[in-house]
Parts: sequence; C-alpha cells; structure tokens
Amino acid sequence: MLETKEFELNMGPQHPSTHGVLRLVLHLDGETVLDVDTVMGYLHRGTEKLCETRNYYQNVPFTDRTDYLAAPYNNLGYVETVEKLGGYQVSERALYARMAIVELSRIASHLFWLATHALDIGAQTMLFWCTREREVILDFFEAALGDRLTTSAFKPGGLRRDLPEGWVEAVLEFCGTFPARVEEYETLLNANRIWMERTVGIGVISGEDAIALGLSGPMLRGSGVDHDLRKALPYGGYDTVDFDVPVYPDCDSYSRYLVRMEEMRQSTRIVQQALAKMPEGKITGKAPKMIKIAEGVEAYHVVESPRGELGYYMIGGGKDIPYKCKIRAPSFCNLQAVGPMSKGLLIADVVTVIGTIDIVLGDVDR
Amino acid sequence: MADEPSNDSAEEPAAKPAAEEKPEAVAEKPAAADATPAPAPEPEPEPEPHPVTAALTGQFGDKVSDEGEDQCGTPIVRAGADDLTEVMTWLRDGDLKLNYLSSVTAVDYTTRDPRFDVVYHLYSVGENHRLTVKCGCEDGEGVPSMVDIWPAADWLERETYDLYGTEFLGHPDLRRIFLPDDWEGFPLRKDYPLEGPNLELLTRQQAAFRGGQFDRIRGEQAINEQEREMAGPGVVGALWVPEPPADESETETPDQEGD
Repeated sequence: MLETKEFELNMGPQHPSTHGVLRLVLHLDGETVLDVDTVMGYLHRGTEKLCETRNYYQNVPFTDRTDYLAAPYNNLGYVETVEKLGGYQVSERALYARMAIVELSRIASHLFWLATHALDIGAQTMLFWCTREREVILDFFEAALGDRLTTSAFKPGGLRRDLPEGWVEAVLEFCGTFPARVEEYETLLNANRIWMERTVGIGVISGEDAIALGLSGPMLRGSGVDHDLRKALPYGGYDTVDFDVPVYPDCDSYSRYLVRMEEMRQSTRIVQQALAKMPEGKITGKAPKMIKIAEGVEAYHVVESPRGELGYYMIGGGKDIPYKCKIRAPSFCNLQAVGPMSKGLLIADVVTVIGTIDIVLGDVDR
Repeated sequence: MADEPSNDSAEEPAAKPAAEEKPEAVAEKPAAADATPAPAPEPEPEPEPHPVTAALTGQFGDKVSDEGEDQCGTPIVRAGADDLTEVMTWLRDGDLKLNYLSSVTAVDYTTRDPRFDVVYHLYSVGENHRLTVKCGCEDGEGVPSMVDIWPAADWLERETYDLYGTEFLGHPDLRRIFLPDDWEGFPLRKDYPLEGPNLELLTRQQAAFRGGQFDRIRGEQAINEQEREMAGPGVVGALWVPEPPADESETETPDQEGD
C-alpha cells in the first residue's frame, strides 16, 4: 500500500493561466484538488481611497484601470452613478453613442476572453483569430475616444467629444461582417473533441449555489439562471432596444462558453440598433463644470458589465469630491467560486476554471 | 435610533436634484422650509413608504427604521446589530426573497456615534427588487457575520474588514484579503492618510526632491536605523540630508583624527 499525504502546491502569482498576478494555493491529493486557497491583492492600488480625494470628473480615469479589458463599461457605471446623484439628464445622442461603445467593449472583452481561455486549454488559433477582430474594435475606440485600452470614454452628462466623421459607417460595416466571424470560431470549437473534453462537465456550479455565492453575468446565465441587469433593471436606454438573453442550463464551462458566444451576437445587434436610433444633436451633456453633491445623498447603481454585476456605491460629501466610492467588482465576487468549482478536479482543470470565470485582476484587487 | 437629524439632512438634499421623480415632493419641500422657522418639530409625514420597507416594518416593527430611498429609488432601512441576523434571515427566506447579497461595505463617519455604518446591498433575483440595509458599528465592536445566510458574504466581509477594520462576529476566516497580513491600520478610514502610514518620512523625501539637498551617498549615512527600516527595501538610503549643524562637523573631526 502506497502512503499518500496531502500536498500543497503554489500556482502563481506568476502563472500564465492566472492572467495577471493571482496566487492559488492548491491542496492536493495526488493530482486531485481538495481545496483552493486564493491569495490576491498584488494589484491593489487603493482605487476607492483615491476616488475620495479627486473630484467627480477626475475620477473617471481611475475606473478605466479597474477592469481594463472593458474600460468603457466601468466608465459607464461610474458616470451613470454620478448622474443619478446629481439628477443630470443625458442627451439622446450621448445615450445611444454610449450604448454602442459599451457593447463594442463587451464584444472586445469576450473576444479576449475566448482568445486566452482557448489558448490556456490548447487551441492556439483562437488567439490569432480573436485578436484580429478585437484590434478592429480597439481602432474604433482610438478613433472615437483617443485611446485603445484605458479609454476614459465618458464624462458625467455625456461624452467628451462627438464621434468622428465616418465612424458610424465603419462600425456598422464591422457589425455586418462580425456574426460570420463568430460562426467561424464556433466551427473550430463547438464540436471540437479536445475542447469538449476540457470544458464539458468541468467547473460545475448549480444555479442555486451561484446565486448564494453572489455570482453574476455569464456565470449565472451559464447555470440556467435567466438574469441580466440590462433586462431586469434597465439603465442607459437598454429598454428601447431589442435583444435576447442567452441562458444555458448545464452549469459547466462549456455552457458558459456558449453564453458568451451568443452574447457577442446579441451585442452586435444592440450596436446596430443603437447607431440606427442615435439622433443628431449635442453629445457633451449638461452637467455643471464643478459637480457638487450634497452631504448624505447616496446611490447604489448597477450595470451589467461583460463580467457581471458592476456596482458603484457613492455618497456625496457636500464638496466636489465624493465622500465614499465603493466599487462592487464582478470579478472579485465571481472569483469566490474558484474553490467550490475546482474541488475534485485535476490540476489542469483549474486552468479551465480560472479561464471560465473570466477574471481581470485589476477588477479583483482594485 | 438617534439618527433623526442625520435622516433629515439625508432627505433634504435629495429634494434638490429631484427633478427626475416625485414632483409633489419638490412642491412640498419649500412649504416645509417656510414652516420650519416657527413650529419645526414635526416633519411632514413620509409620503408613502416603499412597499419593500412597508413589508419589513410590518414584520419587525420598531426593530428596523425607514431611512427613505437613495437616488436610484432603492429603499434604505437601518437595523441594530442585535437584530441583524434575525432581520437578514427573514429577508432571505420571507416574502421579500432577497436571495442575492450584492455587496457589503462600510462608511466611516469619523465624528459620529457609532462611527461606522456597515452597508449591505441586497437584491432578489426572482422578484427583481433591491434593498439597502445599514447597521451602525462602533470602532472595536462588531456586527454579526452574514456568511451563514449568504455564502457570498465571506470575501465581501473580509474586504470590509481589511479596509475599514470593522469586525464581523462569527466569520469563519476573518483576515486581510488584499493587504499583507502584517499591514498596520485600515486604509479606507478617513483618518488614514492617502500617502500611507509613513507620511512624515515621505514628505521629507518629497521635500528633498523638490529642492532640498539631494545626496545619495551622504544621505545613506545621515539616515538613522529606524528611518531606513520604515523606508523599506526599495529605498536605498535616504533622499533627504539634514543640514549639518556647525558644531557637529567639529565633533566629527576629532574622531577622524583618532582613526
């Protein structure tokens, strides 16, 4: 009889599959994972503290740097919260321009998720195909917002400047060709035997557990829970566009993959509708130059970022800086599932689990 | 509780930007403001409590107090630390079905008593409504942990403890989550300086950068042991060189002669 004992293995902080600096202490029996201890904070920059020292306009660039793969969505969550606090109206042009930009960022984020997730599992082609399309979207961001990754896209009340000439046509042309690209990805992966064996039945979490653990976004919808904040608590004009919420009931990595693929198609639809609805007019908005929020006025506003429920809880302090700015980061809450999801799996499957949660460490640590 | 005045101050500014909803509330406010100088004591009765708040107060009576709504229309209630577990269990299992704990955080009101508010943002995935629950917490005391009710609270409470130092009683594993285990202080408290705890050393270094003397080699000698320790491994020596007093240079020379 061979003697066995529990074994501890450090995965990270520098590990290619952790997509940043995340350390997992795996408790192993042979190659089977018994428990996972997550150590984070390597990227903690004190964003919330910094937000309490800058004024409402200066805080926008901080929000880019939380979830840097979908920076426009973080900008949107922040500026919408400030608009709620101050009661500022957004012009219709700005509303739809924002919707188009944030949905493009959802596509870009999902593309990069697919690229890295597939690369982790062993499908290298996806990296090249997905970054090819993502590059086009980043070019759109650069043209309209001046930056590719840390966009600082919006300001309270609207956008910083109007969209450049020809931008709308270029985006619509991209939207026309993009669904065919998604199909291309699917021909490569959907029935791929290696892909199926690495994702089907891996990282299972039931819908009930997912709700109790506070998971959100594709993590919920991949577990059969039909919940999308764009439908449930519509914000930013989402109640005026038509789109479907994909839900798959299998609770595993494969069904989360299907959710994200379908979301890319639906986002394309939203971009097309938003650009069609976008009227001419002023885009910069009506918020005052110096925003002051009275003491004690508070708001907790949530948006559906590519990773899930992104919430901003802000309290005014009577000055031009917020008294409190808490960021409810979807990656942080979703990462909590890495323990329950990895139990009983092999070490190689932990890579799949990290990938399927779709974490961004800037968002986890803030 | 003793929060009646702070409650009013929370209501009043809300009416200023209230162009978005409740036009009648805006109309009423000026009248109330006119009336306040003379009688003052009774604020006009709350327009209509939010149905979620009404259900909660109907169940628990005085144990929870209505604190109005925030700018998104989410009702806010306040509960005492002693009743919190009971109230929260009912919120999850009772009619409101608030099965989703969205976030936990704290707010530091430095001069207030109790000093902190622990804030829970709840949501019902099926019924689609929100609720914010606040609970006062004095520095050094704690509030009961919600891990048994929502497993999501595990990391959220650890984060709050890490950044605010509010204890969560009964939490199975309450330790720092972002900061190193031996970190001193709680960064999101209002009395914690933005630059970090070694503020004095930092400002001296910055002063040196801005036009004081900048001499790395002599600085390394001038720094004392404690300052070197505070500066950490990244900073070699000090960037600050104190002005050598006239008599000190004299005391040094005999030493060198002795060598």
